[in-house]
Amino acid sequence: MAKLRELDVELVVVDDTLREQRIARDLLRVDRSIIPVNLIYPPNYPEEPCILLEGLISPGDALKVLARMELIQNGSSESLASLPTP
Amino acid sequence: MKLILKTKLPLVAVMLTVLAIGLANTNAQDLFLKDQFGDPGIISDHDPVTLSSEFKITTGKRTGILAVTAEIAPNWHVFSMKNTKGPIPSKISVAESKDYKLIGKFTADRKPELKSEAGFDAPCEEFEGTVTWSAPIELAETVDPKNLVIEMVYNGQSCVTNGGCIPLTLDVAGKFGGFDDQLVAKPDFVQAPVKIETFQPKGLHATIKARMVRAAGTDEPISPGDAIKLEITATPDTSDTWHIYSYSLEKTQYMSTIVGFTETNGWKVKGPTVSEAPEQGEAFGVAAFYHHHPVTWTFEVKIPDSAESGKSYPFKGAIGFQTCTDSGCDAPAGVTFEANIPMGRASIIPVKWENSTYGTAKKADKAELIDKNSGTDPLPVVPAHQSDEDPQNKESASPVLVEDTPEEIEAMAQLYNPEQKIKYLVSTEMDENPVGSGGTSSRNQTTFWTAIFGAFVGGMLLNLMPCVFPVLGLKVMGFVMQAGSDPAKIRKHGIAFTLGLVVSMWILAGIILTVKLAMGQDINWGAQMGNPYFVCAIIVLLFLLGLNMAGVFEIGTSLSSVGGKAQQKKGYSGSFLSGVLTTLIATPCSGPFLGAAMSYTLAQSAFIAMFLFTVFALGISAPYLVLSFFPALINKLPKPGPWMETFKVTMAFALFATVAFFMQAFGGQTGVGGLSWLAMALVVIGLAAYFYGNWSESSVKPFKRWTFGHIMPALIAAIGVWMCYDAANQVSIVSQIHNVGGLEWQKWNPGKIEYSLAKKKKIIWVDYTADW
Repeated sequence: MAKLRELDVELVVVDDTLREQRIARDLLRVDRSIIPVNLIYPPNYPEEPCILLEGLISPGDALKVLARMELIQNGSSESLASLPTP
Repeated sequence: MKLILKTKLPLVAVMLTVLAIGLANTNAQDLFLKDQFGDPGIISDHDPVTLSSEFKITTGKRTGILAVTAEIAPNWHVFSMKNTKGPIPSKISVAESKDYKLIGKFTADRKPELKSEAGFDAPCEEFEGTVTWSAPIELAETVDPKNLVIEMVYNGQSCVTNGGCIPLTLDVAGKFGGFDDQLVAKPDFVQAPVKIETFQPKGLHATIKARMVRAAGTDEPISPGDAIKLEITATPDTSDTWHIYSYSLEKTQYMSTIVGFTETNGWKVKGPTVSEAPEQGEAFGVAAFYHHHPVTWTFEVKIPDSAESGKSYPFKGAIGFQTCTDSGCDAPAGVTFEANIPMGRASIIPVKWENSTYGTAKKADKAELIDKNSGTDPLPVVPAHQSDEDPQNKESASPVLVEDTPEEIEAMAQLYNPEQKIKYLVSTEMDENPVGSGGTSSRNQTTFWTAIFGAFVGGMLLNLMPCVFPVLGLKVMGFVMQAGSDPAKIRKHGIAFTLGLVVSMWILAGIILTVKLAMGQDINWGAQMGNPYFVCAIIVLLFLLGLNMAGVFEIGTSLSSVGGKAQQKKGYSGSFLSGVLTTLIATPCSGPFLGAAMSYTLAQSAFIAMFLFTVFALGISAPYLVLSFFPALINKLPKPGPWMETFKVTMAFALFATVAFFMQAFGGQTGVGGLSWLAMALVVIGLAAYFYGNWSESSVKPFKRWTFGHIMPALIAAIGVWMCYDAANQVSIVSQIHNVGGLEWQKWNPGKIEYSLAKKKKIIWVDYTADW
């Protein structure tokens, strides 16, 4: 949880309690129809792919994904910083 | 104690009062004047206090009550037995004796009045008029109470209202007042130490504790007619300057602390008063009132006189609250509390806590406010931005779930393309695709091709099933015999047979899909896997098929014989019909495969499902085709034999493994309670299958066959099915996950992700979930 805060992750919840068609369709974009599904987008998507976690997530999985995202986030901000400024 | 007073004392009291008035007439005026000269000591020959005493003994017992009554002259008072730094308290010393002993302390029959007296810092506890102190006693076995006199000495101080005082030392003798069978020796009340639990509500950055306490003090137990206080103390975490909102029943943009009562025995609850005024700050852009420091809300509960002493009364309620820092909030949380008030046996009562929801407190009845502004929000709350949420959402919308404005939603929808696949990796692929490798795109095709391959191989394997395999060789031998030695004819028969299989499989698939369409809404099938009832049904089905394959019971044995007749028919139509019948014959056996394949197939669209069924049919017929093209291979087939039985039972275990897999999914939806209940249901269903399998054969006598083979298993199975249904009713609390840690979640709209990615360049965590 602290990690989520540290990385300033934007959290989005898709509440499919009402089984909405538009959500089912959105899920098909990752070939899924069974929830729960967690999708974690890197800041530079689509350069890097999302990570998809299915079912109940273990803290270990979540941390692993976040570590990867952190790497991407740092990488992309560094590359931005190294761009020559006019 | 009160009983004595009610029965006997009024007469005595009247007499003594008459006497006292007489005394007062002669002396009080006199005394009062003298008192004003500050010289009360000279009235020692007429004490302002007259004492009398008697004791009663419970009929048939050795215990009883010793009562000492003080008649106090008008304008005079004595003090309670409470030891204070002020006036001399009343004290009754009983002479030591082997004939009797006190088994408790003296207590007064009424509460003293609290009065401020000149010369004393604290208010004094005073008695005026008449007061009776009583104490439980126990007599020695040999003593006759009628002859017993209990010698006592009263020590104390008597004062004139706003005047001087005299010390008192008076002798009094207690005489026997008779037997009484209604005497209740009131035990000396001492409140046992009470442990007040400090509770950490789930999802709250504060701890909470509460107690119910007798409003007039803890020296006596809570009794009918008393007022009790419910004190609820919340202590916000200080680590990150957390605050908890003030108590308010007004509708606010933030979540005020609210207290509701669900079980009060009809007692009147008023309040709260608050220990410190709330601070004013800001939350969600509006003025808010909250507490940074420990705060106590006190409710007053009035117990009616009609309450029964000795009975325990429940008292229940719920608290809803939310804790926030200046930058973020926890989700609104709730707890329920429960106290049991043993009337007449305790003066402090702890409460028990349980985690609940904000809604529980919201729904419960509220206490009547003492004063609308006392401790609650002094100002009406004005929302900072327009509230455009629809009424339906109002109930459930919590401030932690942030919604976008209609303009933003509009902008997001512009960016949304539901057809565009999302590039993703599943968690197991992370290691193979390190950062920078770019990753792969959607693998819809991969899974599709895997499924096709699976269906084909599954179909081929089906031929190895005991009820199909023996047919296989015969079937091809049939082609050979029909066609003589013409390989072209053999091939044509093979093709006709295959067509028969495929067509009948289409019909089967059509039926299944139609049933599913009729059953489900216009969404894809796999969504049903999120529904515990559906998962439960699949589990039971797979379990039964597993039992079937393990040989616990048989189904469809009579069907196989039909095939023989069709084989008599000659020509290509005969081969076609054989294909159809093979499907029919194979269906009971293929059930397990279809069942397992079904869960994937059903997740696909109708077209793909149909296609998969076709492939499945081709899989079944593939060996026939091959054999009809190369008849010489028939001799190389393994001969039907016991190995097929072993194969079948082994497959049963594969099915049980599938059951276990689905149970895991089920457990995720319903929690441990639902999962273990389902496991029990499977045991019951297994028992039903066993009875059916052992008693339903035609060789069993009709009575036994119907009783044990049909009726009993049906009843047991019905129980099992009900248990499954009940297990699926257990709702898990998965959705609570979103409410921990004080994180802010955004509500999804189509295009939300694309919009945020383009705008903020932040990591986005999207959780697809549901509240069931």
